[in-house]
Amino acid sequence: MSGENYKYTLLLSSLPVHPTELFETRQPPISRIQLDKRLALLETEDAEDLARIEALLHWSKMKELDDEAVVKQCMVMWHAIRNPFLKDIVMWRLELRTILTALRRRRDGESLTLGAPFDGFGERLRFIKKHWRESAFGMDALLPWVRQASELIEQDRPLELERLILELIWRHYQRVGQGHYFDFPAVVIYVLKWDVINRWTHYDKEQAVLRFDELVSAGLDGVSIEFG
Amino acid sequence: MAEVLVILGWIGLYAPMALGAIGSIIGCAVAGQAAIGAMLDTETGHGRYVGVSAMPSSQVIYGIVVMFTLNRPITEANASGIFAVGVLAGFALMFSAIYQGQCCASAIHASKAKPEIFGLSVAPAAIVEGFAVFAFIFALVISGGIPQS
Repeated sequence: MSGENYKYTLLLSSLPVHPTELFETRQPPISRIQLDKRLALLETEDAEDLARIEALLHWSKMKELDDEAVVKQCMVMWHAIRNPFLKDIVMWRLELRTILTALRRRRDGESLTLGAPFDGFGERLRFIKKHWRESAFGMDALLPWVRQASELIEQDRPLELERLILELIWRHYQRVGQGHYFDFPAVVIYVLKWDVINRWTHYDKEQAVLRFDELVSAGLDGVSIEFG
Repeated sequence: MAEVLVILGWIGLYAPMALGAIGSIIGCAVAGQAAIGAMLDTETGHGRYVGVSAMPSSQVIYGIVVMFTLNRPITEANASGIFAVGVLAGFALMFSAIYQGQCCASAIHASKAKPEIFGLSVAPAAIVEGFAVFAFIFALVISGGIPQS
């Protein structure tokens, strides 16, 4: 009656509520240090599941491997997640990445045939290959955002694409989070939404230019350029 | 058969108190956890969080009153009546306390982010309390028809 659905009442009540609109946010509602302190209230198995989910969805936690190895490694971790609802959430994100990868590869001039290897997640891999030449891979009706994303990629507008994707992810989390208020999925959705806010609020144009200069300097270190 | 009836009578006598207590324990625990969590995230309003978290404690009091109202020498003539009223009133009180606790937890969580809705957010818990009062009052009324011995 009150077991699993109210398992993390204390934890979730101790966390500040996320804003309704993602792009109005200037900073995460809680620091990662504080969030991790609160997440110490999770039971061991739940904490392990959350770590798996974060590892699957964070590029920074991925190892540099080829596509096939990444997919294999991710699927092992994905199968280890115990809750089917959370598995669906993770697979949704991984599938979204797969579609974006396919759009970028097509923009870069790749041509995939049905027999060609294409590693990714979800049940639409074959569908993507089959409809490779269509702008939204034939998924207009099912996933209307794919056409928008395709156009933004073709027009080389990364900021608008990022906004589209973050908004899409944000809305998805809000939708699937309905009905989960104090249970473990609610904790996971909270953390995933925190990640989205953190990602958005850390975009900084000036910092990006500085970082770009640093990378260029590091890359050109020891290289002398002669001007004629 | 007579012994079984007497046992059922005793179960019915203690059920409102026991089931009401179980409900209050669970309800207050859930709402109490929400109150403690909210204290970690807010600087003020702690008193009202604790106050709301205690709302599901009323069911055990109603249970005690129903138990005393039903209290009489248990006989074959009145055992089945005591069992029916006691157990059904007990379950009604137990469920109302549990779900009221959940309402209180949600109210605390919501009013923490938006203090101005505190009064309204407690309304669902008050409505649930109303149903517990119905179960309590009508248990008292109907127990008047159970033979004294």
